[in-house]
Amino acid sequence: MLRYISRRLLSIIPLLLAISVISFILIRVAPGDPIITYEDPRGGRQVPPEELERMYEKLGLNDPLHVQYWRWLRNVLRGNLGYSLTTKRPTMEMIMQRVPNTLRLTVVALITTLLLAIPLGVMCGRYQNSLFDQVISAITFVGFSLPNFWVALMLIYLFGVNLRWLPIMGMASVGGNSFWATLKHMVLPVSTFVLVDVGGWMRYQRAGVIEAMQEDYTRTARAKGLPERVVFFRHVWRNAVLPIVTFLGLSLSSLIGGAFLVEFVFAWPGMGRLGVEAALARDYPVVMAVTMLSSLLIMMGNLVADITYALVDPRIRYD
Amino acid sequence: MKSKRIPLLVTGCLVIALVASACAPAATPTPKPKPTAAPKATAVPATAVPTPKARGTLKYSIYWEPPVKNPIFEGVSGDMAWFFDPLIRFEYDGSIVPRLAESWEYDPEGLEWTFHLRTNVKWHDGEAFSADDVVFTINKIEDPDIASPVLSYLQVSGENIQVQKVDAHTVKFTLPQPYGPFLTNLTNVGIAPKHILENVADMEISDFNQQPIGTGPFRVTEVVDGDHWTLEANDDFYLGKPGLAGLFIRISGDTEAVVAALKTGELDIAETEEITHLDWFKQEGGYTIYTCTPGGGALLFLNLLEEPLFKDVRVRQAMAYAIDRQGIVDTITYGYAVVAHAAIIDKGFSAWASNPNVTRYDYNPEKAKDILGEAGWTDSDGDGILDKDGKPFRFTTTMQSGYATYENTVAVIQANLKQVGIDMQIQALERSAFRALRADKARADKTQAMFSGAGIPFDPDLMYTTYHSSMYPGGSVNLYGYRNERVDELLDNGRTTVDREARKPFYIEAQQIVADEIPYIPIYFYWIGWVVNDRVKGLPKPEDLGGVDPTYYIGWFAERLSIE
Repeated sequence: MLRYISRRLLSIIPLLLAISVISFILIRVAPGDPIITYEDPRGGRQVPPEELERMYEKLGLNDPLHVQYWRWLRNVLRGNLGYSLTTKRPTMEMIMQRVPNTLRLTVVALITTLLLAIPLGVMCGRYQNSLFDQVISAITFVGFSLPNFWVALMLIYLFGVNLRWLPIMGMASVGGNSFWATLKHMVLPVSTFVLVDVGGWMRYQRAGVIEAMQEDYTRTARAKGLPERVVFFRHVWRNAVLPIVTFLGLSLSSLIGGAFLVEFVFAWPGMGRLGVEAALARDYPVVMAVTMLSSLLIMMGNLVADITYALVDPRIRYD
Repeated sequence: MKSKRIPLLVTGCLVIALVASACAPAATPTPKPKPTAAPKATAVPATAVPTPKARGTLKYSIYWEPPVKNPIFEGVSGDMAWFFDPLIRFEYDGSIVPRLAESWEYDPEGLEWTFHLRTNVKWHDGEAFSADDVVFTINKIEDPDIASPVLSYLQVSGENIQVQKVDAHTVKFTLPQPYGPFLTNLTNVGIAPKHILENVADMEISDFNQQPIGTGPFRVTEVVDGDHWTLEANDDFYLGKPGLAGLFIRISGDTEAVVAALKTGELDIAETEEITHLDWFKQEGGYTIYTCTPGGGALLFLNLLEEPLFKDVRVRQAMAYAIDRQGIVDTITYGYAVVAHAAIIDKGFSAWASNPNVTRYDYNPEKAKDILGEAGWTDSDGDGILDKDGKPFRFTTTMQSGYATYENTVAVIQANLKQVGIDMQIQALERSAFRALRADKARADKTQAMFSGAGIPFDPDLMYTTYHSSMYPGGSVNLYGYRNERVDELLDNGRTTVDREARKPFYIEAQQIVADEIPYIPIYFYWIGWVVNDRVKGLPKPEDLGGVDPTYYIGWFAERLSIE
């Protein structure tokens, strides 16, 4: 197992290098650059060409691409992700400020989603095609099919504008950075994630249960006279939870990567907004850092999924 | 290159909308009587602030955050104005009023300008402000190692303006040549504290940029990255105690959410250009709506250099007649924008230089067809597209995608031109891609026409960037190298003359020539909509703002605001 893990970890290195080369080239060949793009939208001022030239020179954007890449790579290996071209702040610091904001939303949303989806999925699978199954399935299908920004706006209008129960934007209100204030600000974005995501997870769980109920080992368990409760929880559910574990590993990257649209609507300063806004502004160091981080997370997520798979399912062995 | 075409369907719908609106009376909503709206506080004294018993916190929203909060890297006409001051500033009537400077004078030639600074100004950390801060700031902005984007405000034709200290509270600026827009430009140059920044090794990455210390009416107490800033009143402010206890500035994303937050009171002021939103607030009452035309023009730039289609002035005039600019203003902008006849708008800071009598191209498709016929363009093969010497009148306009008002405008232009037999295609590019192309020196070889905005004219000298021949091909908005020696001369004279009355005739004549030659077709001066909760006091009424964008105004005289 350990050999397997270390082999997988080692294979991540060349992959990351390849990804870094490709994304470095891609972001540079995209039309536009950070200086032309940087402009106060209200200012309407044009930067004179000599000034532009000076700024390119200063940022090293006039050097050949491979020189720039090598410089970037050397700095990254020394643990320096560079400075943002727009805010001039260390990229690492910007990311480290955003990650907790995002985790706060995504982790709470994921836990809530699972707490809802697993029991619902189990019930729907156990009593397949019952009225309960049909109603719940219909509801979750609706949620599943709605775009998250639309759900977000509807929640805003219902709970923010009409009922006035909850704040709409950001992480804090005037004078309120307290735990309680933040919690109130989290309710709507977290609900958006839950409403949209619960359907998917519920369906995985339901499908898993239905499949496991038809397996031979379940029939065997019933045949040898085990009580239904034991049959269900020891034999059916333990197998049905496997796909959930896989998807959990795969969703690791989106936990930290955030969700741009939801963050955008609720003015939540998370990683999704950081990444998209950096890409629009052609803020190369930030784009590279966010890309590398999410690539790393996706690979780690796959690895974690494979490992937990082995832990949960004794049939799987890596040697 | 990513690009997308605006579907024909959209165009069709807009044409129908245009036709429909031509039949119906102007689509302005009937203002309902507002039973709740009390008469608002009106005239605001220039400096003294009536301090209410309990001072409130204003909740304000911005979409774009100045990334580096340091006046050495960022102009102070936007949200930097809450905490940084320039030497002088525009009053909303367009006059220039003292800020850090108390008074100023200049020699008869306009080469040496002396500013007398206030003696009672303190930085937010309690240190006294002096001439050293001014000299330090200007020198830093002009430092070639710093490559400050603010530099162009301190240059005359590429040469730096020099500054020197006369005594502790007097500074003298020396200009390489007389320069009309000098004061205007100076309103955007904020002063930074020498005593803090002189010891900073690399100013660009200094912590100061996120925890700024200024002289303005508010001090920054907290910046939560990407979420909000908290500002607190600077009670030692040199013009008296601000009327607000503080500010909560939300960095927002989606306009719908911003409007919702304004309805719930989570925000007090918000920007929206969505007419349905403005109507809602109008009906609801309790809000004041500012629809301002800051004067930035949106133009259809024609490739005069490489595209034979546009070399004939008659063709350009015919195109201007063919485009229903009033219709566009009425339907796409609901009457809020202003049709651009002259190059300078007759509202806002440059209104004094606007020419009301330039040649007008009122919508007249028949006349357009006649002129095109005279120029040799006829539909000889009967395909609905004009042609000449076997070549159809067909070209592509490149624009930035994502801004619905512009996209709809160009779609209507396309439909209008189609009516007179001109086939205009639309290429919409993502923001960065468009800006790269617009700044590309070879753009005349790569594009045939562009739809783009020009800047906001704080000074009529803005015409220089669009119409002076020296502004091509560098990063400016004379996109396709318009050149007229008389216009060059007039704009040079306007720039190198200091007195307003003496400058005026130059701009009047230049606008007339440009309107006759119509190198680029001005469509409208765009507009900005703001909704302000009536709890906010101290803002002038919309009609008193004279077309000045209140976003600027709000920060410029932040000490005058208060909230119930």
